[in-house]
Amino acid sequence: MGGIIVQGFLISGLYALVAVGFTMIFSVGRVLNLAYGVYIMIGGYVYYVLAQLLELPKIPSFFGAALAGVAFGVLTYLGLVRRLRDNPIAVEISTLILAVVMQAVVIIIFSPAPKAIWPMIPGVIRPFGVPVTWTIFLAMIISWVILGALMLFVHKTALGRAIRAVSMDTKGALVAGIDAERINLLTWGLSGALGAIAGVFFASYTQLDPTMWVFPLIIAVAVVIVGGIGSIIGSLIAAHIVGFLETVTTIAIAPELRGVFTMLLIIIILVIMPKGLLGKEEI
Amino acid sequence: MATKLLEVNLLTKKFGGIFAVYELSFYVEQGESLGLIGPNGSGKTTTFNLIMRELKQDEGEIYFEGREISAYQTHERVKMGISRTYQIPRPFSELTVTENIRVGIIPDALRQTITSNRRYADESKIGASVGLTPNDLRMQPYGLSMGNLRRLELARTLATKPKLLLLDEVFAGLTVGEISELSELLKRKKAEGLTFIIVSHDLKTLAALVDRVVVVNFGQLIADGSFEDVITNRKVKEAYLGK
Amino acid sequence: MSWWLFFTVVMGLIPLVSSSHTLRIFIFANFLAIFAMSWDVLSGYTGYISFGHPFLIGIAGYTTAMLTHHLAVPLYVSIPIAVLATMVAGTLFFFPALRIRGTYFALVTLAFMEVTYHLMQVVKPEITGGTRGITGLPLLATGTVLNYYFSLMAMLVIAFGLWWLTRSDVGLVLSAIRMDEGAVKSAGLNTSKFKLFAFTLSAFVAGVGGAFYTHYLGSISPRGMFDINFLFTILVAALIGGEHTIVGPILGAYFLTFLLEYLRPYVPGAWRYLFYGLIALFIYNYAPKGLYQIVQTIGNFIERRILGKKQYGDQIT
Repeated sequence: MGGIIVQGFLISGLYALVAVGFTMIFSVGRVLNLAYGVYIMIGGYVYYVLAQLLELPKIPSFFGAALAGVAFGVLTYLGLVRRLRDNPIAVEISTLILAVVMQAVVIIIFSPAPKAIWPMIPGVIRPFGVPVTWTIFLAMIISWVILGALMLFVHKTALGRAIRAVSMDTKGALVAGIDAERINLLTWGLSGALGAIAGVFFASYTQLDPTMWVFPLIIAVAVVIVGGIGSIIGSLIAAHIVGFLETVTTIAIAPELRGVFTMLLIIIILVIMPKGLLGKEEI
Repeated sequence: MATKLLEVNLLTKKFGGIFAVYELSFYVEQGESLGLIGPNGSGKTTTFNLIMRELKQDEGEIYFEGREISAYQTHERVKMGISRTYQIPRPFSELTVTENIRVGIIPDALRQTITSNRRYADESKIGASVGLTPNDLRMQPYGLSMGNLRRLELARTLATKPKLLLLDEVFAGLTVGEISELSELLKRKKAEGLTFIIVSHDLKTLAALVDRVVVVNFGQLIADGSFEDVITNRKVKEAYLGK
Repeated sequence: MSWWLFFTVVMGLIPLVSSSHTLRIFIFANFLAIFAMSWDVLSGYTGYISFGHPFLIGIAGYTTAMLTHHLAVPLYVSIPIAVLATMVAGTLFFFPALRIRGTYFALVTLAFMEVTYHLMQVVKPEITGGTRGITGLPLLATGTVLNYYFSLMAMLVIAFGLWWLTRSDVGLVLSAIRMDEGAVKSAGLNTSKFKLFAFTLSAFVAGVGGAFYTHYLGSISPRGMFDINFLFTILVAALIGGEHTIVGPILGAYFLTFLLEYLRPYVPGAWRYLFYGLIALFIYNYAPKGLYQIVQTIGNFIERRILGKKQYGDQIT
């Protein structure tokens, strides 16, 4: 029981971080960025290269990964999404193709074999008697810190409010003098950074693998559907619902069935509450 | 003996903290043409959206031919006899005008649509009735003038055989000549028995078309009467011109 | 119409001039064409992008595989059951998402495919064959030539059926849904009904294709069925060939399959996907009508110049 609670919180924190980058783009542009999982993958692999292959110290490696995420996020926007702005279908397809292309690139550079990342902080702690690695614990703490900072940013700063304005009503925001283009660049860069950071932790939690971009995407999808768009708190709550659902399934029921209940949850929510728990509009 | 074709009662719709429409009540009688006017952002398009179930109201009822229709979806309301055009026309971008009109004609029945062979018959008739030439019918929307785009939408709407037509800013973006042609067309349709609710900023054109006018501001009804009564109403003047 | 006859005859004569090896490539192309068409009739037309076709194809394959392998059910029973299972499972899981919006439909289908991929490897391996899958399944036909005709027949029947359907008003409605679903509702049409029709049709074709394909290969495994690469191949075939045309995906499937064959000795595994992806991105963004448009242009050219047919809009004098 203790194990479920502890593991549940740990994984939910990470899931929240994974989801929030995705939700952000979705809220701001109503755009489905299927290449989002790739930011996670890039974050993991870049950190691996910097910290393990080049043996740079951990903190710069971490920031290096985040920077790679920013770059890729901005590039995705400038290269693909901006041109296809009026055609959401084209964006869906193009970003998926991009993701598979990036998967191929990763396979070419790194080989298809999974790799393990050395723990950021070695050792294990035992909250309530449950063994948990320091790295995962750190991941959860940092996730909460980042999410807290993000909430402050979005609600208290002018730039953050501008992002919210664009997300609610782009035309209205333009009329109010907000430079939507700058906001878009910022949002995509931020989303890339968030994804990459989540990726470093995600890779530590599981392993590096060229197909690792799919699972976080699914998690983000589940969180967006369950939590609704337009609300960071909604994403947080949804991430915990999904996280605990998975943890309970893995520990108490059967580990193979891990994704199944999440899928069922998605369907049930879509049928009963299409807006999600705290969503501001129907998706 | 005039019957109320459409009646809305205490219609209310909120977006976040703002009431787009607040306890709005009005009706239109069979065969009447009603003008719906008000300053920008006063809730006119929202009202149309609510009547067509493109949005769901928070409070209030909508009656069509005496029946409360809130439970019905958009396509069901269209089948009942209410149809609308849009402020910014929404043609099907990759289809020709004929095909566009056909979408309005196609019945909501799978079996019939599967076995049909897309034999184009009524489209040119309907197109002609709104002033579209056979040459226009072959074109795609990107090649059409605003006037023809509005005709296209009108044709597609008329293809659904409506009893009540909601026209949203149907004169916007038209040349003076196009406006007078469209106005004549609407007068003819009115004579044929069609009921209208028209939203327009072009008060002069509206005056010649409507029997009665309803004025809204900030989502609330502020006047209801003949065109002359309403124009001279103090509250209406304040709404448009400020105090 | 005459083009169909011409094409059928040409394709029917292929075994006379091809080696066994080449025929096998054609067979694969035919199956890919079936899958790509099934994708196109839903996603190409309505714009509801499905990333779950491998899921549907896999359900058909696994159902018929498990029935024939464990219960010795004859093929003419197991295949229809498999198709039915596909349609039921598809509707159950995807319809809630189909009702809402294209974007979420895409996401949900992707999620399903991924989850099923992992599930099939670990749940009840005794029945499903686990990671390695099931082998030694009964075959539809023995001998490459017979298999070729089988796959060709299936492909042509499906192609013609779908082509005929999409030429009717249903095709018009589905395309209109892609362009502006709200406006279609405003025209008095129940879009959910039409979307469900397209989806069921798509699932049917995917089911038939999946069941036949499994009994052509004689085996099934999660790797080949439920993974992203398979999805990718189907998508690219449909996109390169030309969306919402039914014929386009056939062209795309053939193009892709033969490209794969010619590249095989020169381009190792992952590079292929890089290649496909870049070609797909390029064609999708700059020549969205794909190979279909190219072929259509050539076809029109032949009709005008060589056969002397008059085109609409030509001067009389």
